[in-house]
Amino acid sequence: MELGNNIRRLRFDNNEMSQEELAAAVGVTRQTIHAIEKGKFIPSTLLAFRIAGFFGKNVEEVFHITDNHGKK
Amino acid sequence: MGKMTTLPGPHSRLRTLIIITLVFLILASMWIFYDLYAYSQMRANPVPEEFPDNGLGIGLIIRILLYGSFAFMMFRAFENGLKTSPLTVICTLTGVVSGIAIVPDWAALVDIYHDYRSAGGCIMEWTWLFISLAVQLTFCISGFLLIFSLMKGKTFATPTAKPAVNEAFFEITQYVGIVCGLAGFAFTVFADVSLQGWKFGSWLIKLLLFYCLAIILPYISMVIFWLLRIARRAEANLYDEKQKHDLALAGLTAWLASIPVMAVVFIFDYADSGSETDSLWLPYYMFSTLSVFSISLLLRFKKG
Repeated sequence: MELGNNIRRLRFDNNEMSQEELAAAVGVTRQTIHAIEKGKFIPSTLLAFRIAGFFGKNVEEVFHITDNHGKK
Repeated sequence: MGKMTTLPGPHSRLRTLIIITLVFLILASMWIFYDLYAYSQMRANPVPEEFPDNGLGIGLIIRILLYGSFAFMMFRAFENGLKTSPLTVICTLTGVVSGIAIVPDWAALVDIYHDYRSAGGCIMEWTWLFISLAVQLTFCISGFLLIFSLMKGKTFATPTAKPAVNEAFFEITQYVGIVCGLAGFAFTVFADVSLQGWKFGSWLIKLLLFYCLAIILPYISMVIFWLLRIARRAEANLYDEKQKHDLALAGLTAWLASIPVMAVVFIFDYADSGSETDSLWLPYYMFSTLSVFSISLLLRFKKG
């Protein structure tokens, strides 16, 4: 199982926000946002809440558990 | 001065440092050609009139001043949101290498001065000095380009996207760590191999450790800058959670890698027990762990 997310789509829906801008807004580096988007790094609960809060969503709307084939 | 106004935000200190660095850069660039002339004169004369405490020595002092002001300029630029780019990386790395090279340059010049009197060839010393000049020239060219881009404000992050954690400085620190670590390790191996079987006093080991300190100095100065930021609390978070995660894994990798390296050093020392080069275990340990740590951290950072 892996942690999937909709961050890329949410950024796109949010005036095509860049990874850099989201990183600055939630207080991390652009590389961290990039790694989370790609599923290479699992964020802490605190950071997951901050990202979700930034987009005005619940954590479940941003992050979801997927199987190894990418299915929710 | 018109172009300077394009620098984003209140950068008066940065502007001053850019001007000071530019002055030293111009002087150092001119001195490269003087050095070339002086080297050709020295090679042509069996007993050189030019020696380290003449014009060549002044050139070394100018270089020390240049690298000092360049370091302060870069620290200030990173504080103001300087982004990493190939130019920033090339300029920093050639600056670090040619800064470290001041000590072996001076040593090579002294060797040449003394050896020429006994009709020595000094091929290695001359090779080193010309390689060092090439690195200096690369640094000067990239330095001019970097200063030009700093004046134009092209290499800064846009104010809306200024990062909470200084990512660019973090990345550059790893590049400097790799260069210092590999240069120091290569120097230690060279010193250990070339001094095997020699009988010398403890002064030479002290001199070698001084060289090692000079090699690691750029990395130490970056760490001190980082510690000063903590003391001043200039940033809310020095590292974010992924960086802390990467730091932990890189630390583990460096520790694991240090075991076989130190085992090899131990085996050689054991076979030649009592040798005066035994005390080189410290630079072996320091430079091998620094190299592996910085490479591992940079790879994790780049991989995302």
